[in-house]
Amino acid sequence: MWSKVIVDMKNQTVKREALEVELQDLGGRALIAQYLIKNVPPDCDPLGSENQLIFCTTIFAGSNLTTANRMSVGGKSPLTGGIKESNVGGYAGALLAEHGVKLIVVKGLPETKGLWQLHFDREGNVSLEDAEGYEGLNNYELVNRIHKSLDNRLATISIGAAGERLYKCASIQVSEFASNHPSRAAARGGLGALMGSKRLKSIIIEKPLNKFTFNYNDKERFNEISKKLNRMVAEGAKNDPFHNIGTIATIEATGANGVLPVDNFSGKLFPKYAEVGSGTFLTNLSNRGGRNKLACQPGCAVQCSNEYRDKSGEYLTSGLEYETIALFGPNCHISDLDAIAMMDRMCDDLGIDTIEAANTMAVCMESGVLNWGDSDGVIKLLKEMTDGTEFGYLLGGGCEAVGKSLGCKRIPTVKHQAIAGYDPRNTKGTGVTYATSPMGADHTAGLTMGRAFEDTGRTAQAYASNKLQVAMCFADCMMCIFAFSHMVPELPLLAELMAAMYGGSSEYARVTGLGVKTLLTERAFNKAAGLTKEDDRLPDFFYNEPSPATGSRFDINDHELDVIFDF
Amino acid sequence: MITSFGVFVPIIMGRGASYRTGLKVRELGCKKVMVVYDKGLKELGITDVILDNLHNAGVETISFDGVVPDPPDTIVEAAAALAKKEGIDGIVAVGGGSAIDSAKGINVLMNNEPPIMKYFGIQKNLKKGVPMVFIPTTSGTGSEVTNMCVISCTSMGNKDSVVSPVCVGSLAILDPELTIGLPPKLTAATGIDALAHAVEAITGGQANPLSDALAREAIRIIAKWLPVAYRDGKNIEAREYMILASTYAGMAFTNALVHLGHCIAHALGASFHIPHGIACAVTLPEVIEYTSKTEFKKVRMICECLGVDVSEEATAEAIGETARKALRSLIKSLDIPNIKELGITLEDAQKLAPKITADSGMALAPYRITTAGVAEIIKHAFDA
Repeated sequence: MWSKVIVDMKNQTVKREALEVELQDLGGRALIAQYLIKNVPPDCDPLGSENQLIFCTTIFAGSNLTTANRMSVGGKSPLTGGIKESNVGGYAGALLAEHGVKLIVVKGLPETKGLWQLHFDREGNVSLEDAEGYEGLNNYELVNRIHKSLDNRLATISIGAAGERLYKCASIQVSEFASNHPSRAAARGGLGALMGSKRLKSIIIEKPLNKFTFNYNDKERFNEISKKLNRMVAEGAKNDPFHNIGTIATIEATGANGVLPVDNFSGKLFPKYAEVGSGTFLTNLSNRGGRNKLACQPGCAVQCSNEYRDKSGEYLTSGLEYETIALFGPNCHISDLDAIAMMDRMCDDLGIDTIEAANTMAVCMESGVLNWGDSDGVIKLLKEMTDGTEFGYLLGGGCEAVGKSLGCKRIPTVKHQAIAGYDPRNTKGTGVTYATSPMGADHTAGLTMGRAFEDTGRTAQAYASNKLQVAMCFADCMMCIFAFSHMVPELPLLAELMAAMYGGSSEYARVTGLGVKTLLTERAFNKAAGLTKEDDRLPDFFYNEPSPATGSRFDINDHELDVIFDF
Repeated sequence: MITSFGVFVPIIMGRGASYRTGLKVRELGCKKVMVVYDKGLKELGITDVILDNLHNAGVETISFDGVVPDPPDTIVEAAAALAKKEGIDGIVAVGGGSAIDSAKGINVLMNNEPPIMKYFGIQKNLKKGVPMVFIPTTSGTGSEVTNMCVISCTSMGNKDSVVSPVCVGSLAILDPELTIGLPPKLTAATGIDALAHAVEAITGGQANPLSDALAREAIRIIAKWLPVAYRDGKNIEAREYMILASTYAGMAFTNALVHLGHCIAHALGASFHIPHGIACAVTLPEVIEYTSKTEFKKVRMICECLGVDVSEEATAEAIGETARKALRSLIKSLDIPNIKELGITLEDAQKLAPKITADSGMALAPYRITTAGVAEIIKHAFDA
């Protein structure tokens, strides 16, 4: 049986007990949806005492299925005002599973001043400890100090100053396997602010002396299937640009066809996109002792992560991803990869979402606060966020808050959350996902690029988005979507895997049903939280301004968006 | 909206056009062609004339007369093996959709390894085949101008399509005289298939101004001339118009694609073995009424082409209802049976709803419809 840990911040108590039977075979996004709909009033104040912050592992956590040790973080989002599941790699999921813990619930608000950390020690005990000495620290320094204080392999989940200051763009950072860098981010939706509101600075998970063993329904069958699936992923990864290069390889695909966002989603092409693409990246890695093909969690066969060094060969950042590069790069008219890597480092350290922060900078450029392409200016503004200046606090409110404050007419957000690195006019199914995902504008909820007839056409876009949103939803309950993408021909085996682990049905409908039920639960939460059809729309400018790269506008009609989750 | 019209097949047309088959095949550089047809057509004497014509032009022929309705993969694969063995350099198909789709299936396998089911779906990178000439003998399928073939998959028990440039003919020969002998029931069923292509193409997500123009003209012609051809099969003017309308509708739908009506038709056809045109007809009025919610401007066009008035102020729902009634009236005038008259129970027909909504063709529907919504359409159409 999996356990849950309940942390009540009101009086700083910690309780460990068996997880409810009905939640045992859930994980990730599904578990978060089912937990939140039953335990958190949708209309609560996201930073108030009724909201809860939850961390959970996946359905297959602790198993030998590759990438099954991702972690999900959930709660009512301080940014969107709706339900939020933010999915993250790193080492924490694997170690939580080794402790036999599937779910951590953090509820209530402290009545006294203070700052705490939750500590799973090597003996398997879990306790809340004083962390006031860490107040105001950012993630790299914090993690460094934690490692100095404990002589054991461990994972960290932490917030920087941004979370403590309740910035709505605040992330929760998780340490990478092996390197321990706090560079994996549960970035979206401002869950770092939720953690900050609970005054929980970090969670430390030490590698336990006694590893929890799960009682499989049919271990032999599980191993047989997982072996087959792992082999598929390993085979697929050989030719996967995410493995051979990194997610930055996406730049070449999107830069050529107008999907790459340029100058605050102007829809233009960016002639210099190759300067922030795979070639520059690989050359810099090789010349400076950087690395790619790194695993963020143990046992990953895709290994898309990387370590990027500066010109002098010093470590700068890791997990430098396409979204960060696209949005701080061409979307801010910046073509300096080193400057972008520095921005990534600053965001990880402070603990903010690079997508939200980079869109905020583009809106600042659109509004004349910065010049297009001014990378020094962006770094200066990120510094203001780090220092907590008055303008820094405003920037921490996210792209929409900043855009409105500056009178910007073109604010690229849906459900108050900034759009990811794909122009929705030139991959319209992704636009449908941005518009309708209960998560707000989130590419991981269903990126349709290349999957409909034509990315710029109307046909089959809502269809492709619907299918992918269901698939991504159940994938987010199980594993990393990059490994999942190599399993597509054998997806029904995932149901057999569930049956081999937990018993019950091995019908594929169990898996697809998980996706559908989760989406509908999230929609119900959002509806009760006050979100309406009007929140399922893209900003007007995507409908009204043709993309100069293709002439395309977003022209999926409202009814198609309204019925996308009619199952 | 920016749209595209990309599939186009050269055509020669008119009474007696099929007498040019030999000349045209020779012009294409073919020396030995496989002629694909069904045995029934041979009995009518149509194929012998075309075979003679080819021989007189100095073109050698291999006959494949094993075409059956809803061509199964096994037959297509056997014919392709024969074609490769014989070293043919062209294919001539004579007949309805089954003959033409069989020919396309054979062509897919000319330079791509069987089984054909490997190639279901949109295929952009298949190896080229040989020149194909299509001579339709019905006015409905439109397959002579499309880039797809529908094949029955015997192992999966369903129908699926290969969509590929390899399925595009080098020439279509439209000779209305070849359709003179088509019996009334087949005239009606194939004609309604063409109507279904036109009204679904005009309301689909890939519709474009060119396909709309072709579809509108097809609807106008069918509304006027299909009842004439149905009552008087010897009326050559009606036959001329109908073969033209069928080709117009084919050109429209290969560029704009069809959606819900064809998903329903494929499910009905596979489960109850009813002719494709009839299967398209039974729920077509309700399908177009469903599209009106978002495609009301297009449905208004359909009403105009059918010759019914729609007021300027009409709502989307009212336009949909008008189209439904007009289409039903046309279908009724051709004595096409409804689902009940086909001997299918409502329960059995509605059981198909999950299969219909799971059909990948639903990707082309103007907006998402639930299984319950499809069951409702079937219920409404059941004894209408």
